[in-house]
Amino acid sequence: MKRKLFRQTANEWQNNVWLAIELLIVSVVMWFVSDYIFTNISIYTSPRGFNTDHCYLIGYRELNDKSPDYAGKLNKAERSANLLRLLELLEKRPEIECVAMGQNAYFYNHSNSGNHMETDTFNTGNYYFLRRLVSPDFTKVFRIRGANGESPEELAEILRNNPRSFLISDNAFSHYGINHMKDFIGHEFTSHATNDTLVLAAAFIPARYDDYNSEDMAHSMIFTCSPDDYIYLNELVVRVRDNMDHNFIENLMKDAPTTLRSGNYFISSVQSFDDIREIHQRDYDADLRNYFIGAAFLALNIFLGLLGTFWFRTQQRVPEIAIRKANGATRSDIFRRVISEGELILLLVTPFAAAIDWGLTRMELNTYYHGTYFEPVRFISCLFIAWGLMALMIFLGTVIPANRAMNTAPAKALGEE
Amino acid sequence: MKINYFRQAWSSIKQEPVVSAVSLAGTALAIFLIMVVVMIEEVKTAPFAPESNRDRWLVQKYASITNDSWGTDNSSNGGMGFNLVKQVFYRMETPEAVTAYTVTPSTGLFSVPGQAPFCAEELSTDAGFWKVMDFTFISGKPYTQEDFEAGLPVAVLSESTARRLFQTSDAAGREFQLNYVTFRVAGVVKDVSNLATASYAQAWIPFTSTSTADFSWCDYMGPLSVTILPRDEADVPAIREEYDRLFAELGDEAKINGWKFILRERPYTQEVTANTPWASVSPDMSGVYRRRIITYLILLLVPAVNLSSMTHSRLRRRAEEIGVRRAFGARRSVIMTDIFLENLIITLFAGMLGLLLSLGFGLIFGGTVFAPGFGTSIESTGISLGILFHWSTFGWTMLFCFLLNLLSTGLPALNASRINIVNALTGKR
Repeated sequence: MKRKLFRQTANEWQNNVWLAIELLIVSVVMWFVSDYIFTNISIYTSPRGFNTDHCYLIGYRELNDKSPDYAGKLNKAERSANLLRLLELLEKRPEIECVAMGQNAYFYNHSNSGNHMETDTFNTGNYYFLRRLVSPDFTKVFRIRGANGESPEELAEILRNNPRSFLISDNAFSHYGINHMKDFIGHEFTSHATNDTLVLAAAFIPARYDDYNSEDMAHSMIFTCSPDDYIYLNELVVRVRDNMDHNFIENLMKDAPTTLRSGNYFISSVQSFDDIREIHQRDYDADLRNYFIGAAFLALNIFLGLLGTFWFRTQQRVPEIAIRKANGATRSDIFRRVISEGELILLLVTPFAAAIDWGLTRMELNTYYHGTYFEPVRFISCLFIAWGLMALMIFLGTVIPANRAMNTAPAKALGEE
Repeated sequence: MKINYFRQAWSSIKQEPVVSAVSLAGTALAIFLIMVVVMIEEVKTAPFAPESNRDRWLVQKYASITNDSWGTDNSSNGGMGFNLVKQVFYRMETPEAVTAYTVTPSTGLFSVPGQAPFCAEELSTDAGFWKVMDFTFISGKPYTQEDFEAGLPVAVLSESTARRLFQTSDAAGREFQLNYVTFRVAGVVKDVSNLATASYAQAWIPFTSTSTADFSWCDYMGPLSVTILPRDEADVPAIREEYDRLFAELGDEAKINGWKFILRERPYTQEVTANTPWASVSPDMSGVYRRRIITYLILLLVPAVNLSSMTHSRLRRRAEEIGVRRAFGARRSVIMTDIFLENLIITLFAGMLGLLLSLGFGLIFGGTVFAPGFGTSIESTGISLGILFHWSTFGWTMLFCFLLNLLSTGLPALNASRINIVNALTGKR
């Protein structure tokens, strides 16, 4: 039976070679797409190290001299007092859990600041750290937790009590083979961006840049400044209590013109982090969606290709199928034979496809993840995913012609012949 | 003869309805997907109002600067300060027009007495903006250079913003509050799609009317982007020369405080701008083209191999007919051309179907499919056929149909034309 299948497949080589070429190309592309989707979903579903649920970005501005409400040109101390009062007004609202400020600090933000750190025993050279200049409660707003079990509140207290201290992601030096930062706690570091010396007070669980970048891409530091200098920060974020999101934006904006003003400061907008996240990740989401659509397109092509080719083939083979049935082949024998032909071709091209896939990893053309392009488990898993998907589409594409062949009436077919 | 191609195509569809339907579906699907990819690219680069000059303008969205004291590989990248704009771009004499505007719109608080304030997106611009962009005014006119220089609180509103504030679009001359400052409406324009990434907003104001222009860091950086409008393509080299000269002059002044500009091959054409989202990264157009070609190749090759297999099977059925034609003296090239053209008719029909599907898809799902990567809005707005369809779109469809047909019919047609006449006539394969 198997030998006959091979012989029949070989006899149809002219047509099968097209199928084999198609399956080979699609197999390679499917593996590439599976690899991309596999790694992206792995990253997407891994812990983010921060939490933006119930968080909002509040836009604030200062009145200028064209406004009738302008409080005049104020000095730094007056401006600072006004800003702190605005923060206080927000904090007093029952629905708000905590308030923080930052500069290029909040998550899902396209604007970044970088820094280079140096200590007496270690120099990060030109390695780039994300630098988050914030007010201490930033860790509370985004629920950033310490690597040694510190709560967001404890990290906030560390920053508040030691303004010359800073926090660093626990994986900050993983680039250099140092997996945890605990040995560096208490060390003085020179911060090149601010040109001063800060003491490492604690390490925090790595907070990723966004949902699509792994923690390897988010080595970051968090440090603070005096409340008098909050006027130089430009981001205001709040966390709303868990069950108090309803109408939060509408209510806040309703009160903004009257009760939420301080000196020249006023609130101009509120945006939820759900929206900010969606906007920030739109390109990544689109890429992932396009890969899914691409994979579906290829799968549909296999389905159509197999359907068309085998429809034709069974039409041509009616007398042959009839003879086989007349000689005792059962309906399921006929069905299996038609299905097996497509699956056999897939099986034959799979080693070639795997070799090309492996070549792509050697050329570093696939997705970079966990510091490499080739991981045996990932490679084999994606190969199986691609193969399984294609086998399914081959089955679906040939099931209709196979069913048609199975239902061939020998007497009628041979009579016509 | 030409009618014959249509007859032959129709007859081949009738003979094999299932396989023909599969071929048509495969071709339409391939062209549909390719055209969606083309449209995703085209909405970022093709001209449409108010960005009707995209095909000739040059954009400097960001600038990059470093300082001697920062060491190597350190730079600040982002929008430009007003002083840089004045010292380089406003001094340019070659272009037809130059405009500076904030990198992105910001959300402002709009109100009129007796009405609850609402948030809308406002873009701060100069007066040159109205020369470079092509807005349709339905009331009033743009603010002038004099308004801009005087820092007057005047605004141009989009039609929907005007209606929201005044319940009418005929609002020129009326007053409203923006961020607690009273502004006069200079004009009202038709709503703009946020796919117009340089010009989109719901209101436009002179940046001198607020403190926007005062905001600056690293002496030369700030909140502004610039678009340069050359008179025509031939002006571009002269504009680049003038740009380099003016930046070199400013560079001499900046050097005193250790500053050094990193030009990163700016200013960019619209296509380069659309494919260079990060301020700190130089363009990599060869990488962009490479990725695009691979995508198109995969989208063309896989269905082409599919269709080729089916065409091959179909032509085997016509072996007798081809044999008769060859016996009566038809040349191989004629057989090949005939097969190619018959299939081209089917491919073009399916291709048009694919194009229509892609346009329908764009109009229905464009809100999420075309949404610009960097922006403030959740969805794209104002997507119309005028934005999605250009004659170039039709041209691309034709080209892809031709390529698909060439790839899927070429080899089967060649094999069919080489058929042995005796074997074909006696039914041997």
